[in-house]
Amino acid sequence: MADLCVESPAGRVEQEPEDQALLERFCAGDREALADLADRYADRLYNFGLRMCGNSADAQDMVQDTFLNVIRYLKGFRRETKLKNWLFRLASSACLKKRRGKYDPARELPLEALYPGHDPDAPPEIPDWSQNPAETLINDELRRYLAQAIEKLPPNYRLVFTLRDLEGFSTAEVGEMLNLTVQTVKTRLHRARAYLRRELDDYYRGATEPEDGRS
Amino acid sequence: MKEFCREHFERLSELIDGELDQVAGHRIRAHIESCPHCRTCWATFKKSVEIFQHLGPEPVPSEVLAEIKAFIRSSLA
Repeated sequence: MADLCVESPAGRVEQEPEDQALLERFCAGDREALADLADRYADRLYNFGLRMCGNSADAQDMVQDTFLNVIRYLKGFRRETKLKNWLFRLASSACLKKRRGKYDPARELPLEALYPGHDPDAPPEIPDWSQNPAETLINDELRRYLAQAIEKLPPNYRLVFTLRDLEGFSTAEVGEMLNLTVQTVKTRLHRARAYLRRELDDYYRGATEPEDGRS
Repeated sequence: MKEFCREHFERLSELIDGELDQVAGHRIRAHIESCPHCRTCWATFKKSVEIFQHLGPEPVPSEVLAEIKAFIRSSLA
């Protein structure tokens, strides 16, 4: 086998079998493996880009930038993390560079603003929507509303939320991908969820679109 | 009382994600049982996370996917 890749370090993690096969082909000099890697991940990364960037053109650019970096750096991939996680790390970095939104990237979500508090005049009735199965609540209108609400999250919160709740990575994996402590991942995730919970509550009270620039 | 509830609110995500130790998890659950306001908050928070995690991927337009793949193949040449 032609040795195109870095020597195997001690800390290698086990790859998913299909990724392992692609890596072996690539290391043996088969560049077509990169095209097959794109076939395998382009749709997931595009979806991730769509949620992070909010529009198709930027999402497409982000995926292409990510794969350009894959072509450039795959030889040096040390396999100390899963290939999928490495791809999302590259994609996250591309997203943060690309993002030129109208919202201040340094905006924070203070917990005080998100805590629902206790209104002594409001009886604490559990709303109907929270008692129905999630599958029956999700429809196109709710998807659109939530997509808008997610876009209004500050980028650092949106990134953690998207990787954790929409892409299904663990807290530790997100921390590793974004170079954040586990506690920072937990804090950002919780605040993003609390922000979106409030938006959902507004939606079920009749709001037609999420409020702008809210903390 | 309010401060006590707020402290618990901060940890609801960890409770949902199974990231609390048994003692802390038990303490928060016991409080939720006894506090009607926190019970409502817990119900809506938990359901919200369930909804987020059930959203699933958006369908990717086939022409977009084809353009991305064509770009990658041309970059390999």
